[in-house]
Amino acid sequence: MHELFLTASVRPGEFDTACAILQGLSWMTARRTIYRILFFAGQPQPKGLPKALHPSVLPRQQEKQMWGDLNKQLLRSSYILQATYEVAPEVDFGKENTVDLNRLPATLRWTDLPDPLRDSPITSRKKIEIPFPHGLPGSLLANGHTYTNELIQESYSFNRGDLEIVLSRYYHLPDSPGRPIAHLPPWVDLRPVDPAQKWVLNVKLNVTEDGQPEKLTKANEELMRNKAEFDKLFDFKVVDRRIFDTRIAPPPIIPGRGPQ
Amino acid sequence: MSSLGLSQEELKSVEQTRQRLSQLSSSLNSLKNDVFMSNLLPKIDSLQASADILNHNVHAILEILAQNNALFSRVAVHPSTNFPGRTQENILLQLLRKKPEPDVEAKIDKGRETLATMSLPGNAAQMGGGGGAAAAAAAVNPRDKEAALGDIWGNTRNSCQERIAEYVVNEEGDYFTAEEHDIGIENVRTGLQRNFEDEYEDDDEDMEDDEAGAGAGAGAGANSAEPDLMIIDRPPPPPAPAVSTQEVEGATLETILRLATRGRFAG
Repeated sequence: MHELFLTASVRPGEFDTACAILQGLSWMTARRTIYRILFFAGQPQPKGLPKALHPSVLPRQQEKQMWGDLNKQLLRSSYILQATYEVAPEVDFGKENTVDLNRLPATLRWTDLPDPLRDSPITSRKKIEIPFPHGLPGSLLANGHTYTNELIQESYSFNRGDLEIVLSRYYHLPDSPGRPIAHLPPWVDLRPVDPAQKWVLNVKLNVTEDGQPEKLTKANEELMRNKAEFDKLFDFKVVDRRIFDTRIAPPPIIPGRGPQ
Repeated sequence: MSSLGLSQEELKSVEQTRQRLSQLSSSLNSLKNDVFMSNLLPKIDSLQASADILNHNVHAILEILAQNNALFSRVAVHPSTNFPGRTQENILLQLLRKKPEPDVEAKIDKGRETLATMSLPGNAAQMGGGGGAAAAAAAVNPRDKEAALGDIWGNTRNSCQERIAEYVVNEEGDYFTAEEHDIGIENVRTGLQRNFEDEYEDDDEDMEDDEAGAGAGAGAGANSAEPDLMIIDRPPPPPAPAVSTQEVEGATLETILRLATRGRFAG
């Protein structure tokens, strides 16, 4: 699958206005979702996904196929992968009970280094998202990935036709070196990644078919048409594709200063 | 007509049933269309109106079925010769079925069983005491039990209706709960900026005017009699969120995206 998106930032003071306008444009109230995102780093040298998964972990053919596709990508280069869990502030935060992340449904998310921009504000990249009914972290660890860190993503999303408009904010969790934290702290105690608590706005389109450049071009045009409309509201930024680099091998760029 | 062996009167009942069923079917269809056609759902008023109509339709059918119970249980139905029996076989079987469906029959049996083992409901049974209840259960005529159960449900329905009527007539306009009245409505945090208590009191006074002195009744006088003693406890304004005081630019968009992509800055 390919995803194309525009990026802008929205100040917290303007969030309500942005939501009100987007609600008007999309004919829907925002859907709030909270994700707990676990990051896993691949091996220093790309080795793919050597182990076939047990049929109980990925019972359906469709997901097995995606697992195979992912394997091909991971043979080429080693990547950082994400395991995302949907959580709810009232239910999952500030509670004493320990959750076993291997028993919960999660989505494995891989995104490639975006295609070169050619001065376009649209970021376009390959992605694979595999829903796991259970056993995702265990499968990754068994395949030589190591857990690195986790974040909480709070997002409000709207849909207009195929277009997905998402406002997101990220939060740090308390330090828990080497493994995911046992209990999520109360929601109010989360430390925002951005002290100014800005929202990241993404206007997205997905192209499900791989290897069909004409569909990509069409989606690009459609996104640009939408940009023309949204330009009056949001200041879309051209984001250097190296910001979205998920490969293990290249040296990290220094954040804040932007890529050199 | 005569070949059916039905009297004019009986034929009319069958015809009536058919009409009511067709009404029900068309009401259902119109509701379905409403739901499908309107972008967003139809207004709640319109849904409630449809529910009322459906309720009325079903009620009418039940009434006719009850009135003609004896007739309908002996009438044998046959499809007309031009009925498309081959293509509509399923619906034909449904229509010609004389017995209840198996699960319905099981429920009917269960109901009869429950009734048989039950002691006579109501006061009579309570007086009978614990020990003799089982013996009494067998002795009592099932019809009496049914009647006693019917009475209980009937009474329940009546007292519910009375209570609802009282609510509609006397209590519906009251914005506060009994508990809030106990602590005094001026202490209630409504979350509204406008002065709700004043408005409420005005309503009270209006009502008293309307009642033209008949307001010697209990509740209403208490709030307005001593307006000077009212203690107004307005809720403090909500604390300003941290973001509004914070003028810092915070992290750059790139930093946030970078972290969201890789989970951490190093490695």
